[in-house]
Amino acid sequence: MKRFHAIAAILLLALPFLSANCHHEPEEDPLVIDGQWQISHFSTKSVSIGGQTVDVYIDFQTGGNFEMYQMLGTGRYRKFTGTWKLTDKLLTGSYTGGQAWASSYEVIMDDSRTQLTLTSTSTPQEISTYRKQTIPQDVINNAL
Amino acid sequence: MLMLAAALLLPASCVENLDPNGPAVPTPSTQVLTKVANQSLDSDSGTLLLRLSQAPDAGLMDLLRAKGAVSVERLFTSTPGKEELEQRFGLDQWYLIAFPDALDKEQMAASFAELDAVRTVEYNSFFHKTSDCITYPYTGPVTPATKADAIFNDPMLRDQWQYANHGNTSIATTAYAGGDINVEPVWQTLTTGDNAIIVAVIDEAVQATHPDLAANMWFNEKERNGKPGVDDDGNGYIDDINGFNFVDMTAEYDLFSIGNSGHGTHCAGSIAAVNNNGQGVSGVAGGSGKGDGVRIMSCQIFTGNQDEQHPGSRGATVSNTAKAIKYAADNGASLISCSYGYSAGAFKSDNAYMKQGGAEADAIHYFEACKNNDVLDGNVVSAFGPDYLPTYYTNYGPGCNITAPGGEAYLAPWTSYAALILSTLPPELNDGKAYGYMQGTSMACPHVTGVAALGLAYARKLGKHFTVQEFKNLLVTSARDFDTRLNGTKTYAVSSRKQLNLYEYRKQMGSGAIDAWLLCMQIEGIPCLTAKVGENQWLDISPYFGTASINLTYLGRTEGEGNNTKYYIEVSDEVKNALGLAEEPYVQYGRLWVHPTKIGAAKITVKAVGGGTEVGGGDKIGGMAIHHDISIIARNLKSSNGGWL
Repeated sequence: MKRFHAIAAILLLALPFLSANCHHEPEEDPLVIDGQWQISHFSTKSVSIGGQTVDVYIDFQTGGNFEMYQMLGTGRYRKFTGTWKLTDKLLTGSYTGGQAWASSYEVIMDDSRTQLTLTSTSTPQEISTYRKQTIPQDVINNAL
Repeated sequence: MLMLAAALLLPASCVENLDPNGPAVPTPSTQVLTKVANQSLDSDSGTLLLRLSQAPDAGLMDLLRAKGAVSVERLFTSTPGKEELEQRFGLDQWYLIAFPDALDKEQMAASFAELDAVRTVEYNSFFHKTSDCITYPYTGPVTPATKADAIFNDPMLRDQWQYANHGNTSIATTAYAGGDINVEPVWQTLTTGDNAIIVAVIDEAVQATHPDLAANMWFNEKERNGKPGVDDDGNGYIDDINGFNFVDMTAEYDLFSIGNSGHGTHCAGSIAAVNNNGQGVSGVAGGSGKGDGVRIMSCQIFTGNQDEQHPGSRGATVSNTAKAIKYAADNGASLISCSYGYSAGAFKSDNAYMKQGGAEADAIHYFEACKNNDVLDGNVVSAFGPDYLPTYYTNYGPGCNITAPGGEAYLAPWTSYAALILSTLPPELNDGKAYGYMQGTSMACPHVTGVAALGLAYARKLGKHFTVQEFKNLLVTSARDFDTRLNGTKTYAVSSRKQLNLYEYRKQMGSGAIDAWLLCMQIEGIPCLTAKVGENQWLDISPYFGTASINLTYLGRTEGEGNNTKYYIEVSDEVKNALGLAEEPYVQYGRLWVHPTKIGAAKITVKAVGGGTEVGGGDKIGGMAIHHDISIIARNLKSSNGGWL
């Protein structure tokens, strides 16, 4: 019986090495951005640009539609809708009505999956960071 | 505290040059002439207004009597607690002098002006209603509308094309969908009024018992609950429950004497007929049927029609109008609606009129200074019909600030009066009907007042504060494009078919057509415009200046001519640095051209003329100077629809 235990222990200890020797890395979880986000930083700055506060909420809905509520400076939130697609780390999309997004974006999600960074592929210095955040109901209700 | 702004709406026809030279005056000295503020043209015989450097003591009274005065009375009633303000604006210095009608008023003016104690002499000019004052009773259905039909259940709302013009050709064969004040979305989503906002209708008396107005009338509670015949609130006016009759200086209104037309009641209905009460019409700021409409204060300055068609009837004088304005200021009015005009004589603009230092001008300045009664002076209103074109009668030209629905009687198919403005009327003056049609810039004016009231209500709801100038900018720039409609001719028929050359009205109808929704959006705040770094590009400034922005004249150094003119915008070094502007920004084709070179944000101040091609000033006829601070965010990205992504 003691012998069996010794063999089992050796086998268990060997498993990691066997695995490494076969080059089988653990698979990364698929990048999932579905859900509601709020902008937290813009181009490494805060969301206040020259005294103008930018506020953007995005709801990436499962199924490929999105709703976006943005307020640039003052006034009421403006609602935009459209479709999105994430291929590998590349986020593309268009607005309802056919207008293209200004850019496609490379997506980075932090380990906690509560922070999303979108970097423009056409202008890499254009970086927006979003945090997981439920869109307030009054924003949704009062948006134009 | 909400800083309320207000509109004193003087239709542009108030400047009528009936006699540019004025009557002959005996040759007084230059010093004497400079004391006379206006001309005798179309003014009261037997009264003059004098601004005195001192309260008239016995010696001065003797001098005045020696020159023919039979009575000398202080023009403005002093209001307890407002004495300092009255003195600051010189209201305590104005006196109404009466003398026998037989005496020549020009000679009397010159004679009084010789006195050292007399600083200003003003002829007691007449004001005139800017409508033909003909009413047409409403004969349509009066069953309440269902909710499915309309926003409110007022049965006649469907016949008020001025609120929602669907291009119904039974109203006018040339009816134009969208030719309205765009108030429905405001009613549906933003506000319908606020009973804290009081609008003084300075006009014929408003019928306070009218079933569609009674619930929105202003009440002076101390007088309503006080003793008859007693000045319960100590404001100098006895029993002034809904306002006052400044013609007869009594609390009893004269609604029905010969020449009364219901003009004041009609204007009041456009501003604040009670909404959603299942009867009659809707008013622009008449609430939702829950007691939340703006309130109407009735200040009567007209009895009857002071014009050739009604000779002998009394009209509004400077003296009773000035008193009415002060009364409105002292008793909480936030806005004044004045659907009248005056014969200009020597005045070439309202601005010049205001600067001549007369009693009414002083009363307006006093009104401005009352913090709950700031005033927007001289918002001059032109009129359009259901065809969204100038009406045959409208005033137009430099100095007109904005356009609103005034109705038009002479449009095809001539089968009804539906092309006019439907509102409340005293049944006693309207074949027993409580509703009817009228037309005129008099009818356009209360629509602007109503929109302003709605804007104030919304500002109050949002807790926003504006100065007079800011609110004036918002109001005049809350306008939709009108000029691009002005091509070719328009046919109308009075006794025979006639045509208007529409091109003549281009840039002559103010900044455009008043738009209630745009005003409320401006009150909410306008989002920053997004510019892309590294490109010279145009930005749409219509959110700031209305869709009429393409037609406005902007202020600044110019280059080019006509429609191609570039108006260069002065910007500070701070702005240049914030956006890294590579070129001087300019406005062309109603668009702002900017070329930022770095990410940032800044405000660029764009100045324009609200009505006409140059700003009025002194004797110069011109529009109102307006400006907006346009917020711009420069990014490396910009989508075509303004979306962030």
